[in-house]
Amino acid sequence: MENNEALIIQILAHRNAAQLKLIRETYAATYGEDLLKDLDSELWSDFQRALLLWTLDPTERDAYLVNEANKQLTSSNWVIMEIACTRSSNDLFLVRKEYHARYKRSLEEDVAYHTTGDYRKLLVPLVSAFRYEGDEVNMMLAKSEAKILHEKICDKAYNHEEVIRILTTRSKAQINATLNQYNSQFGNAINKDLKSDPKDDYLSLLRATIKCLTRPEKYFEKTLRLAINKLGKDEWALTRVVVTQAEVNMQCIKEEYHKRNSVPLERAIAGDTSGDYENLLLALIGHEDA
Amino acid sequence: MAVSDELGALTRAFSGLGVDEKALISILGKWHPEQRQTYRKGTRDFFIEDERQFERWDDYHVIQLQHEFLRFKHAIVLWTMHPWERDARLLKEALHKGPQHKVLVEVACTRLSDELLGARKAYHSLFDQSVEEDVAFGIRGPERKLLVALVSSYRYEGTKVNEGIAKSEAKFLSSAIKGAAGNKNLLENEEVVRIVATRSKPHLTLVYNHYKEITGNYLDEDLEGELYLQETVQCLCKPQEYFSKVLDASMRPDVDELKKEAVTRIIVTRADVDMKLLKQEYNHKYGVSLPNKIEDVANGNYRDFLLTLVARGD
Repeated sequence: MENNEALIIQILAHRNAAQLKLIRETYAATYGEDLLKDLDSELWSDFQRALLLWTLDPTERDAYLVNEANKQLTSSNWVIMEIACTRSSNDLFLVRKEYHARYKRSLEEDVAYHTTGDYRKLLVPLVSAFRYEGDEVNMMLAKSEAKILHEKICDKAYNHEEVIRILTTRSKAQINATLNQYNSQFGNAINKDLKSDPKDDYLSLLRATIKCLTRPEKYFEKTLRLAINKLGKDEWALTRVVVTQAEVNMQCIKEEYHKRNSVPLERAIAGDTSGDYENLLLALIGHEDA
Repeated sequence: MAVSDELGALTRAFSGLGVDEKALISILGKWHPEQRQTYRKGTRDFFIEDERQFERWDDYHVIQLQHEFLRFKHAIVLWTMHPWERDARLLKEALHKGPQHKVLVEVACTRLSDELLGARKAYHSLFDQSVEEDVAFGIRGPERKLLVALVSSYRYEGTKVNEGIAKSEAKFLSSAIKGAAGNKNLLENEEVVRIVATRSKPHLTLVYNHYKEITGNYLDEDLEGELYLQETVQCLCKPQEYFSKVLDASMRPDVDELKKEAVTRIIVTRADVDMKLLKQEYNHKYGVSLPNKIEDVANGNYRDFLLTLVARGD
């Protein structure tokens, strides 16, 4: 196949997940090999990596990202948290199923094996959760759990069992209600109270967890902003967020980005990237309009 | 039948698991008022002499009788239920009835991964909450982390295992158990919980075997006294032995109602899974066949229903 990347972008970037699946199947049937050979090559450029990730179906993609995160030393906890918290309960379970098929182990055993201490305490229950997805909220519980959170935060017991329990098992609606109670009872948003030590990586992760569970578009906006301004430690954040959110939540994220930065996301990405990579990213974030 | 035989038969009809409906009909049904009075006066266990000169049913026994009459109904309803609903209800009951946290271990560890997932889905539908939030909220003790992890697991079910890791995890468990000797705080050991709560069953079987090679002992025996950890390992590595043990304990005379319910639970939930193996294991361990034991301790429709289920896989 000729390496006509503009054509590749044109074909693949504007297809949805079902169409991409068909393209890959047809390619395999016609040429006898997977369109995406050798996913683990570290020589992939940003463009190639973005393309590769885009052509995987969302479940495979998430399984691949978690597996990759388990093998890395830095930033990986964030990827695991991001996927665990922003996917729906059913989607997360599909990822766990895919992980079995691809890697012949369970997702949680790998995350547990590759993490330690507070990170393990937080991440293993996060990836194992199958949160209730209804809107019902128990206000009494929200009030009492807001109190518990406040108490532990005042004690600086950020890894306390109760904090972990509330954040890793309650439904997103319940957590939202609890955090609203927190705000009205104690005068501060919980993430403000969790900013006591800006250098503490675990605290950052905890704040991000809370954001992902309650306002994912704000979390993604910030992640994109840091990546574009080269402020984050997460070198593949831009690719990951654009590719994983393209068919999901991009409109919301673009609005949030524009609101926060007074500049459209397209312009920011164009300013920070170039060539095929830029073209692919721009095609993906415009995806819902295509 | 002679009168004394009838009294004996009637007492038997009311004793054990379930009631002997036929005997109750044939004996009680034909008794005149005087015969029933003789029965009441002669059966101090069930009837007390009231101060106003009549024989009154003992309240406690009427409640017991209710359980026994309903045992058949409960078994039928449980058997007909979708397995997901069944397990979701068993999990909920384990948390609130008793509670019986060991049943949480039993359900979480002896089902296939997709069956446990199904139970979690049914739990959402039935109770508007996730099972893990209920378990985490309802349990305060050191076993909380283990139990939450067990109900949240989605173990790999293939045969691929890592021999090296299994060996090192067996070694680790051996030193952890030695180190905890008598303190009974292995539940607080994160690595122990990690291993039993996340590894696949084939992997854990390998760990179990390596443990025997290293220490000369069986892992579950060395976990004697370790709250829930022993049951966890037994359920994951030797379920039929675990079920045989629980069944036998539940069929002893004079156990409480919660224990008795284990008979229905185990027979209904294993009938389609590993009943043949269970019977073999039971026979091997206790020297009597499971069907014979059930004949001995159960009555009437309940007994017949259990025997039908137990005969599956023959």
